This record gives sequence, structure tokens and C-alpha cells, in this order.
Amino acid sequence: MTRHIITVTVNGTLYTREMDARKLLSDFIREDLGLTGTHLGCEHGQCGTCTILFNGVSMKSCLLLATQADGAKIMTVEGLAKDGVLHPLQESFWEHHGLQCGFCTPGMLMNALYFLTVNPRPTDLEIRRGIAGNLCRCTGYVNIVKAIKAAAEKMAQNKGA
Amino acid sequence: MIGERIKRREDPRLLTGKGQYMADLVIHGMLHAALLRSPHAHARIKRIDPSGALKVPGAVAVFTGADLKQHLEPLASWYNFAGKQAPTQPHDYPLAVSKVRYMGEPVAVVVASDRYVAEDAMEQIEVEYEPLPVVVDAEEAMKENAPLLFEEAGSNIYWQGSFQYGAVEQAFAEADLVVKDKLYFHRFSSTPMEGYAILANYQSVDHSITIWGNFQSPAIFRLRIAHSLGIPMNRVRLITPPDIGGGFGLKMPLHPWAILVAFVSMKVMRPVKWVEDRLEHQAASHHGSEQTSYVEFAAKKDGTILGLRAKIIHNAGAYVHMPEPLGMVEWSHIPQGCYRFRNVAMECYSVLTNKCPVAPNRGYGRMQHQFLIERMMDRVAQELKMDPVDLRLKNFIRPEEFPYESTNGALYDSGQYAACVHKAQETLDWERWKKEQAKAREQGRYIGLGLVSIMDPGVTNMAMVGLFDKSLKMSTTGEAASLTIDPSGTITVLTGSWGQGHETTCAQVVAYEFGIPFEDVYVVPGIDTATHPVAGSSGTYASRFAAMASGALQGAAAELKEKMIRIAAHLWRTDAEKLEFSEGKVREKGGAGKFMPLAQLAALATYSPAKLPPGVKPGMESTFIYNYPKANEMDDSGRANFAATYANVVHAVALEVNPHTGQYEILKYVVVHDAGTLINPLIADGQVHGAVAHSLGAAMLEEFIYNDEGQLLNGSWVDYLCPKATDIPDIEVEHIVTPSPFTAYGVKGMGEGSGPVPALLAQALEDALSPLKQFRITWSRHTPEKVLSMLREARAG
Repeated sequence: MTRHIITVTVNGTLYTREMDARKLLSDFIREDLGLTGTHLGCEHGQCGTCTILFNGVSMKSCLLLATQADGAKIMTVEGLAKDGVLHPLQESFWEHHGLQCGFCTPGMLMNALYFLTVNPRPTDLEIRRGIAGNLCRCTGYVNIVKAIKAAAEKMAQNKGA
Repeated sequence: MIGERIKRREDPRLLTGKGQYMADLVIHGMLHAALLRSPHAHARIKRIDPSGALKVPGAVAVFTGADLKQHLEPLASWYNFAGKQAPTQPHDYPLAVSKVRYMGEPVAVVVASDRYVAEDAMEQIEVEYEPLPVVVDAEEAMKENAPLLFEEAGSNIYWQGSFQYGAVEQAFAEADLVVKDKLYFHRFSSTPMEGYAILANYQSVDHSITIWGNFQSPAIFRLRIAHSLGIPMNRVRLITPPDIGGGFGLKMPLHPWAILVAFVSMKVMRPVKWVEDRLEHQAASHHGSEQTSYVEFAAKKDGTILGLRAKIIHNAGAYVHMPEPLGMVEWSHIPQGCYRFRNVAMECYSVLTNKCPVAPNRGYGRMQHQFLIERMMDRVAQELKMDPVDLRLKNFIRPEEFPYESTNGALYDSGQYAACVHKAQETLDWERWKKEQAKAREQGRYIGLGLVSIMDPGVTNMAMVGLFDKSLKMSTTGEAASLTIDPSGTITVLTGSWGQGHETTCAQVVAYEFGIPFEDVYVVPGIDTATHPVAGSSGTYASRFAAMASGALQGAAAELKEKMIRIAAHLWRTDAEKLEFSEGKVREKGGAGKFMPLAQLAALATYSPAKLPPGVKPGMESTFIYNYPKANEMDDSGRANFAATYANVVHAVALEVNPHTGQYEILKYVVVHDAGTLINPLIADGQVHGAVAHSLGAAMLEEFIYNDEGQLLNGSWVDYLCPKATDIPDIEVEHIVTPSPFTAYGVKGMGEGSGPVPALLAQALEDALSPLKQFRITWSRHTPEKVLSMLREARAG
């Protein structure tokens, strides 16, 4: 098995690590960096629980090899709250009961974060389309849609202020 | 505090990536397991050579079914509780022995330094199979010449039983109308985001084992895991971690894999972990039950239902894992649903086939039954040309009839079924949709309305197992909790906490009981059989936790409050009757005189036992095992109060069918729910949303499809379609609150009341297409393809 050394920035911290060529980025994040907030629900790109921001873009980390992340800037759910203060999306999911078992939540938050950069004032239907790559089996999405909508309003206000 | 929409205290950890799920657990020196699985649905294992696996660097050990047969007892069944053996049990090990009986059945396990290496090693195992004839259909499997899964058993019928309640023959003789149908309820599962996972750590020094797993009911199966492993029960410690990525019943059964991983740890003397991946889960974890029913309903001309007769065939898959075959009789909570008819005859068959074994799945057994009842109500309405809603209103048990004892001994606690229907119609705006429908029809558009009403029983009384063997005499329904008040005045709660907001709702109940701040109550996340008290039926399944845990918490709180009052009375040399516990302290009644806060009383009981009155024990801790007071044993005629609470739910929908594609859009969806007192309506609403989404997914999209060779054709999430955010409509939830007179605070179990969704969509689709043809939908999954074929049939005349 070929070994590779990569250097990657995750949540603002620079890491240099060696791993097998076949190691998935999702496994690298969980096992090598110990960031277990990124979850694995299917490992074939359908459920979105492993969603991260990869150079600012929402991606499913189970569909990438760790070696592909050499030189990349990655953000995982652990990077969302700053200095113990929850991000407006996290606050809003809490407020609106947008999570139950919590397994899909990190991926849902990361995808929502990206989606709101592309569409800061979405309609309900646009939100539903925006998160259609992330499965949730607990909430029926009802409160997730509410939470993202409310967070979008809050984030727009914060930006305006 | 009870009844407040309090934000969940579990959420901050889950929102920041700090949840602790099974896959996140690491123990120093642990190995990883991978399972080699059968590509055949039915085959003899002619030869198995695992030696190649050990040549892979990093592989540590490999085991096959023969190893398990040598060292383990076969998997237990319910019959073991009666000192008997189930018909197929001698063959039931966590790895196949000599034969495989479903596609995906494990045949070998490898352990290695990591999962990648374990899977490399797994691929080096050689297995030679001799394929055998396959049977996937339960009715085919019942035939005399069918291929046998267990030759020695002589039949694929695992269990059969007949039950009769009331005067069924007479009801049918007196009927003006008898309607008959064959109904099919398809195979799907709620496929939680997280699969099953186990971490086992055997200690040879004292022959003990700790098994972490995302168990929904460690208490029930601890005895049976100990039995298989040959370790005394008190040395088997089961731990459910703080967080489970969804269970929905599927993590409730006696999972063979827990025993397998434990066995491997015993053999290699190292901690061993196995995390089920998605493809394993879809093909071979457990599925929801598939059922064919032949049903007859007897009715009078005025719409009064007199009784039902049904032959029910349950496709159990290849093995029967506890709590199966309970799914076959789980309907016995509610044979008549919300209706007054008292004559019910059921003939039940649990049949083995070459499919994945079945297990509880949200709405276990009831969903199939609710589909049957609601479909047949519609059939009667069609025959009598009655409005289906009017037919339901006519047959409902009336509010003044509660508590209502049904013909099979179920003691319905309370309910206002007609009020729920009226509220649902009002919330949906039924009359407006009727007008929209009429308008649409003039334009050649097809809008359909639907409304169904079901009983959502909470808490299984284990008396139910008596239905498949009368010598099984059980009556356990309860839950256990322990409360400790420490000398600082904060309270620690130990009770099973399995997600679904249990940490929040338990803290609400305890804060309410003592009149102290919510923040002063800490509920330890997860459950550990070494530290937590358990009842015979502890767990999170059958919509039981809210109603049963609140009973245990209330009981423990009452003991502690009484103790504190006794201590204060002794210190103040007064009568206990003159004192009360209120707002975190013992005080003179009315609150004007002396008082002593609970911190002081707890400190005194902890540090100064000499000050305690005679007979009062030191410390401020109480463990309370609650059993539902109306939980009885089954009598000889098969009657018992098989549940504890009887919530009810009405669903209403307006949908529009696209006549060109067969797709349909849900225009509005309403649920009116009555689960008695709600501890936290925010969490209750979420449970309703989730239950509806599961059932809508099942009714519109999801099905495990097998071909005749027993090959699962859609084993990934690419082709097994879970509903996405674009598939589920907004769901409007309303509550009516009719407290139970029998439980703590009037709470009823809830969260599985979405059973009738397949029947609801069938009713609305029939209504939508009625201008074209009066259809009789007898199936439970309504794909656009199916609707399109109905449209073609209608056009062809």
C-alpha cells in the first residue's frame, strides 16, 4: 500500500499526517484527527452525514480520498461555534427542535451553512431543495426547514447590522 | 414545568459534533471486525477455508459458524422463558452453520488492526456453496412441497395460532353486508442513519465482559446474551452510549451480532469493535414485517360494524430473533382500533422465507393492523355508499364509555375520537378542499381527500407473549429510576436515557416533583446495567418511555419527599401531617412557618445519620421500579390488558394526482393527536413529524425488493429511496389532551401513531380517481408507477 503525506488545514489548524493511499477523507477526519462530529451514514454519497466545507464548498467527505485534501482548507462541524458561542444556525436548530437523534445534524448544518452563502434569503421550497442531499430519519424535515429559514433571517440581520 | 416547550438539553453536544455514538468509542488495543456474508439466499456451505485471511498482515483471527457451534449456546427465544426450545432454535447462531438462509447472512468474522485490513482479510476466505431452491413468498413457503429452510422442523410455519374474541359467528350471521379483501403490506424499514454497532471487552481474570452497543433494550436481553456466551448474568455488563443515531425499534431485538462480537473478544482476549455499514444494514440487519391478510368485515346496513375475521400471514424472513414472533400478535393491543365492534377472529401464521429476518420497526405489528382496519372501513363505506368519515364517527367508542374494556381485555384509558376528527377536518379546511375538488374535476384535475383514525397503543404488556405460548406468564410493563439528592441540593437521575429527549423530559418531571430549577437536575446520558436500575421490560420501544419513566420518577420522588418530611418532623418535634414538601423544601403547611431546604436535609441524611428518626435509613437516594398498575397476566381465553396507554391519532390529507405521470402532490397534511398530558409539546410535535415522515416514506417510496432467487435488488441508499426534504410536505400538528386516569400525570405513550398513512393515501387516491373509476386499493405502497397503471386501467375502461 502506497503511503502519502498530506498537509491540510482543518478548522484553522494545520495538520501534517501520513496515511495509506486508500484512506477516505471521512475516515481521516474521524480517526486520524479525532474529529468525530463528522459522521458516516452510508459511505456512498447518499446520506450527507459526512458533509464538510472543502475550500468553502459543501462536499461529502466519504466520496473523497484523504490525499485529495492535500493543501485544502476544511471546515467541519467542530469549527462552527466560535469561542463557545454557537453559530446562528446551531442556535436556530436548537430553538426550533431541528434535530432529534443528532446523527445527521453535523452534515445538515455544514450543508445549510454553504447553502446560505449561495442563497442567503431562501424560500421554504428552496431550502428543501438545498438540503435534499442530506437525509434525516427523525424530524420529517419540518423543523429543519423552519430552523434554516429563521437562521437565514438572523444571519442577514447580523450582516446588515 | 410539565407541559412546557423546553429546549432540549441534549442539543448543544449534538450541534457541536460532541455527541458520543458507538462509532466514536475507542478503547486502547481494540481490534476491528468485518463479516463475510453469503451472496446466496439459500445454499449449503460445502466447504469453508478461512486460512487465507490470516495471511493478510494485520489480521489477527478468523472464526466460522463451526467455531460458534462448538463454544456458544444457540440464540435464545421467548420459549426459553418457559423452559422450552423454539422449533428452529438449534440452528440459530450468529454465523451460519452448514447452511445459509438469506442473502447477506454472515458466514465468517475476521478481526484485524483496522477495518480496512479486516475487509482485505475477509476477501481471502474461500467458501464453496451448493445453491438450494429458494422461497421468498410466505404463502408459497406454507405449501407442502415448498423448499424447507429448516428440514428437521418439517415446515416453514414457525408459529400459528387462532384467537377468537366475542361471538364472531353470530356477528357474521346477523350482518347485512360482508366485505372481503386480500390486503398486502409491504416490506420496508425505517433504516436509521446509524447502523448497528458493538464494542466488546472480555476480561479473563474474572470471566466478565462489557458490551457497548446501541441497544434499545439492554435489560431484556442481558439474560439471553449471558445464556449464549456461557457467562453468568452478573458478569455481563451492557452499556448503551449517550447517543444513538436513530433506532426506531430496529435496535431493540436480540441482535446476534452482539453475541458474535462478544465471542470474538473472549477468544482473542482483546477489545473488539464492529460497526455495521450501510450495505450490511440494508441487506441483513433486520427489516420491518411484511404481511398478507385475508379479511372479512361484517356490517349492518346503517354502517354499524359487527366484527372482523382475518387470516394473517406474516413473512418473518429466515430466522426468528426475539422479540419476534411478537410482531404477529402485536395488534392484540387493539384488535378493533378506535371502534366499538366486539367480535374478532384472527388466524395467524408466522412463516419463514429466504429473506432478511424481521424485527420491530416503528408501529411494530400495529401498522399492518391499522392498514387492515382502515382499508376495510373504507371498503364498507364504499359498499354502503356512505361517507367514510361518517362511517368512522358512527362506529367510534364514545367519550362517556371510557375506561373501555375491549373484547380481548384491553383497557382503553380515555379518548375523544370524534373531537379529533372534527378538529382535523377544521384544521385541514375540509369543506374548502371539497369545493376545490369539485372545481378541479370540472377542469379535468384530480384532487383527493383522505381521513383516517387510529389507536396508537403505548407500552407493551409482556403478557402478550402468552398468545404464542400459554405457559409464558408475564406481566411486566414498567421502568426503573433512581434519584439521589446530594448535600449540595442537586439531583442525579439514573434511568434509561436513549435519546428522543429523555434527558430533558426526565429532568422536567423531577424538577416539577421537587419544585427546583430544571438546571439542578442531571440525567446521566445512556444506560449501564452496572449502575442503572432496570425493570423487567426496561427500554425504549413500544412508545413506552414517557408513560413508564414518569411513573418511576414520580414514585422515587414521592419516597424521598416522604423521607424528608419525616426527618423534618423529627427535628422539629412535630407531626409529619403538619408538613409538606414544596418549592425545594419541607415546610409547615401553608408555607408561613418553618422550612428546611432539600440540600440541608440531604446533607443531614448523608453526614449526620445519628440525627435521623428511628427507622429512617441514611442517605438521600431512592430506587423505584414502577410497573403499570393495570398490567395483568393473560387469562386462558387469551385476554389481557396488552398495553398501558391508548393514545389516538387522526390524519387528514388533500392531494392532487398528475394524470400524465401518476405522481401526486400532497397539498395539505394534518395530524390531530391525543396522547394525554404532554411532558414537552416541542418534543411531542417532533415525534409526530418523524412518525409521519417514516410512514409517508413507506407509503410513497420505500420497499425492499427481492427477486425470485432471494436477491435483494435495492440494497443501497441509491436505490432504496428514503424520503428527502423535497418528498415530505409541511405537517401541521394539533393536540387534544385527554389525560389517562391511570398513569403519572395522565401521560400516554406516543410517537408511533402514523400507522395508517398507507391507508390514508389509498383512500385519498381512490377519492381522487373516483370520477374515472371506483378503485379498490389493496396494497400499501403507492408509487407513481402504480398510480399510472391505475390511470391506464381506468382509461382502458
